[in-house]
Amino acid sequence: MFAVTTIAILVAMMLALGRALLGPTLYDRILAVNTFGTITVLFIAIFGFLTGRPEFLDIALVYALINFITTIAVLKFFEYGDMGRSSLEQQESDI
Amino acid sequence: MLAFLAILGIAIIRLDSLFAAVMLTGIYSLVAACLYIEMDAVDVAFTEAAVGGGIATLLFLSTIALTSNREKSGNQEKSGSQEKPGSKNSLPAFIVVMLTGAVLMFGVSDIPKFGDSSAPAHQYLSDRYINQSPQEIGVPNMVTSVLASYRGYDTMGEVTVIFTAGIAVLMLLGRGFRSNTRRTRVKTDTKSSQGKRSTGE
Amino acid sequence: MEHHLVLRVIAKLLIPLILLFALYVQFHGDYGPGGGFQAGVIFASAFILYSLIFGVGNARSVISFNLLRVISASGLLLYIGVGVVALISGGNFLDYNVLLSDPVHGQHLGILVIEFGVGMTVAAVMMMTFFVFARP
Repeated sequence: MFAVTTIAILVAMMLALGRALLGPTLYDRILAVNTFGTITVLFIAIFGFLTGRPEFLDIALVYALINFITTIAVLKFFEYGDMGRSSLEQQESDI
Repeated sequence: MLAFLAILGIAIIRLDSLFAAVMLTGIYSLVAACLYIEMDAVDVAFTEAAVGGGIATLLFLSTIALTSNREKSGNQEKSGSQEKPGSKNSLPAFIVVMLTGAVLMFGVSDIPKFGDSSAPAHQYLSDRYINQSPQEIGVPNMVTSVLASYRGYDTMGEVTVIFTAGIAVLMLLGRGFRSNTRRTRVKTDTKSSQGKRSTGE
Repeated sequence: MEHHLVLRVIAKLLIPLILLFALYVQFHGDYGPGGGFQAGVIFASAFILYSLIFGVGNARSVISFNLLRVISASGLLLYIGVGVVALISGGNFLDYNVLLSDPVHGQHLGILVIEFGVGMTVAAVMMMTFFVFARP
C-alpha cells in the first residue's frame, strides 16, 4: 500500500521536475517548485510510515512551513521586485 | 534520485536567467533532502529543509533584487562562469577541471563502499558511540550527543564560523538602510558576501 | 502588502505556531531529530515571514538591530561560557561531566545549554542577514 503510493509520488516528482526544466515561462517554474515542495512533504510522510518511523512527520511539517514562506517570498519578489518593502513605504518612496 | 540531482545540476549551469536557476536550486535541495531521508539521516534532512530549501532561496532572491537578473558573460556568477566556446580562457580551464575530476575519481576508488561494515570509520568510533553513549550521555538522539558532547569543540567552531559570516555580511552591506551613496558600492560587494554566506552555512 | 487580507490573517495565525515549533525543535532535540541549528533557522524564518508580509521596517521595530547583534554574540559567549565553567569546576574544556554531581545529568544540562547558545546565534545571524539583504 505505502510502496505503491511512494512509486506514484516518485512519478509525480518526475513530472514536476520535467515542467521545471522545460518550463517556457518563469511562472511554470514557480508552480513546479511549489508542486515539488508539496510532493516532497508527502514523500517524507509516506516514507516515514513505509519504514515505520512516524517521527519523520516533524520534518514534513518543517517542509510545509518553509515551502509556504518561500512561495510568499517568490511571489512578493515578482510583484514588487524587492523583498523588504511594504506597500505603504513604497508609496512614500514614490513621492 | 541521484539522476535527478545530476540533471538538475547540469540544468542550473546551462540556464541564463538567474531567477530560474534559483528556482532549480530550490528543487535541488528538496531532492537532496529526500535522498537524506532515504538514507535515514534525519537530522541532516532537517537542516537541509530549513536552510537549503528556505533561507538560501530567500537570500538568493534578495541578492537578485539587489543586483540583476541576467548573467553577464565572462563574469564569475553564482551558477558558474558561462564561458562561451570561443573565449580564450576556456581551454586551460577545461584542462584544470578535467585534471581535478580525474584526481577526484582516483580518490573515490579508495573510499570504502557505501554501507560497508568493515570500513575504518565503522570499526572503532561508531562502535564506541553506539554502545557507550546511552550510558555516558543519556540522550536518546545519538546525533545530538555526538554533535554536542563528543564533538563539542567542532560545534563551537561552527558557531564561530556562522557568527563571523554574519559580521562579514554586516561589514560589507552596512547596517541595511537604503541610501543612494551606498547603493553603488553594494552592487559590487554582494557577490563576495554571498560566497561567504554559503561557506558559513 | 495592504490588500492581502488572507495573507495577513494566515501569517498572524501561523507565526506563533512557527515560534512554538522552533522552541519544540530546540528543546526536543535530545529525543527526536533537531537541535539548536535547525531551531534557530526556523525561529528566524518566523520573523522573515513577518517581515515579508508586514515590511522589514515593521519587523525591525519588533526586534531591533542592536538587540540582534547582542543576541548573536551572547549565544557564542554562552557556548564558550559553558566550556569555561566546566574548566573552572575541575574538568576539561567543554567537559560536561563536572557540571552537576551526576555525570549523566551534567551531560544533559550541558547539551541543553550549548544547544540554546547555538540556536540564539543562528537565529540572530539569519535575521540580521535577511534584514541587511532585504533593505540595502
